[in-house]
Amino acid sequence: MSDETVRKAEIEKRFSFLEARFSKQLNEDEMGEVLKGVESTVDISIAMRSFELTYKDEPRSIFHPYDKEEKS
Amino acid sequence: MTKTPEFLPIRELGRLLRKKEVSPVELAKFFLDRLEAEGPKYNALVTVTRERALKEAREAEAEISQGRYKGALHGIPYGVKDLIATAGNIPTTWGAVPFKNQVLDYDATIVKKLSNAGAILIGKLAMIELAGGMGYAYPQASATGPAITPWGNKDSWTGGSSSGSGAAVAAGLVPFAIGSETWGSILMPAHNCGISGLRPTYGRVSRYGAMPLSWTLDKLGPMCLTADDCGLVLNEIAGRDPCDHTTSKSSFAYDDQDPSDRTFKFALLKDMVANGEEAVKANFGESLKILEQIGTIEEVEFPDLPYEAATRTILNAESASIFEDFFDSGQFHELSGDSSKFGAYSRLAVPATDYLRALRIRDRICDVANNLLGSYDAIIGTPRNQVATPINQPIRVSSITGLARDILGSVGNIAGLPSVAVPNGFGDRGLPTGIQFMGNAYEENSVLAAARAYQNITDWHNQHPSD
Repeated sequence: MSDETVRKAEIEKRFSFLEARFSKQLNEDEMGEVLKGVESTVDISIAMRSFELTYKDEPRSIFHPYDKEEKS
Repeated sequence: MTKTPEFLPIRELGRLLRKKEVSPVELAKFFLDRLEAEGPKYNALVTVTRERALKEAREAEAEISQGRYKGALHGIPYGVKDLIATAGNIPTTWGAVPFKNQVLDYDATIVKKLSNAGAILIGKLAMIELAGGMGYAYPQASATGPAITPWGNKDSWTGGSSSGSGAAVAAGLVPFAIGSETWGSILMPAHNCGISGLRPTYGRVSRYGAMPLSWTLDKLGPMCLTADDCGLVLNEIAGRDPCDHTTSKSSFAYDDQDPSDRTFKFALLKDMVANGEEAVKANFGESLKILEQIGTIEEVEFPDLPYEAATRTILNAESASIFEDFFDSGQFHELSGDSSKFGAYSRLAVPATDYLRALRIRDRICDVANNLLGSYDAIIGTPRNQVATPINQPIRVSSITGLARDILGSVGNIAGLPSVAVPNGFGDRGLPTGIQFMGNAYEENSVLAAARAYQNITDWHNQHPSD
């Protein structure tokens, strides 16, 4: 599949989820803005995924167990 | 008072208060009247907190008259962006119509700290609704209307989202204000309003009691007439807070030694103003000449990483989670922004793997920033590459949505780095331009020293708009 085909598929998938959840609340024009938002967030995702990570790369924010001293 | 104090910096007002040449009550009344009369002209005001202010001012007056002077902010009036919780049956509207009657009725940690320092809360200041986190194309996206910079023809935008804070400080309605920044919301209004604004290191100032937009990007910071004033305020609001587990254990003490004898080492981002307006380029060029008098400047380039995409993904995912119930409520329609605001619903479909990828990239960016900035006192750049937009026109560049480039803004915010913006001249329509000094994490003193050294040999911060 071409990159554009994958992009379109992801846009459709995300949009159909939002349509199912919000189409009773939002009119056609408003859903049109949602679609533009989806296109933008998918493009952002694609830009981010193009950067290669390794197994060593951990999330910057990681879980810290409760620490009594920290709370004091 | 023999001299009107509206444009006196905190340090000077403090000297007058300490010497009892002006009383806290007198000063509070002066700024309360001024904020009430002038604030609406700029759409800068949400609520005047007169009752609370006069109570705090009387307490400060009694303390100072008994010789119990608390320090630089004792008796100094201030305002807060209206996303910061305040006790005393005072609304905290988050700048948004659906929250116009919200009363949180407790003091945010930052307000408690300022009260403990003897500062006098005189008002809650306007902002872009929900700190601009839902995206917006026009300055009208605020429950109080488009905030207006006091400069130029008084028909241009303050910038956002700390809009009222910027306008109120610039117009001399408060000696200082508290703003917040997730991505650009302190530096941009500082630039558009010709004032000094400090975005502290992430975790330097407690966020407890402030509206969350993005838990790992939100910062609170001072907006003042001078960089020195920003240091004085940061000195009082910084510190560990058990109510905000993200606050740093590193302590902060403002170093206000005269920086005139220092030789600074500056980094300059390559092509920083390449796409800027002519006046922005010219003013930035003049600033570089001045900075060459106090230090060295080396051009640097950030390696190719998806800075903006990672920052946007974190902001999108966290804000979607924070406001998920609000999306479901249907109240979104009550927001003042234009129809593009509905694009924010798309954030609810960002995959968890994308959010985690952004956090993994963030780790790389923190390393890159540390390696690149480590040996410099500050990297210099512009907060914005254009002057304020007319209030009836769409905002020209928004980095929060889309794929627009903003390397300094995205690196600074995703890596939680401190930056101070100060005025450096004027551009089209008599509107101010600015320069920013961004530094390594926890090194606010370095960026403040650089900005103070710049202000020691320039006069832009001493120029003020007429009423």
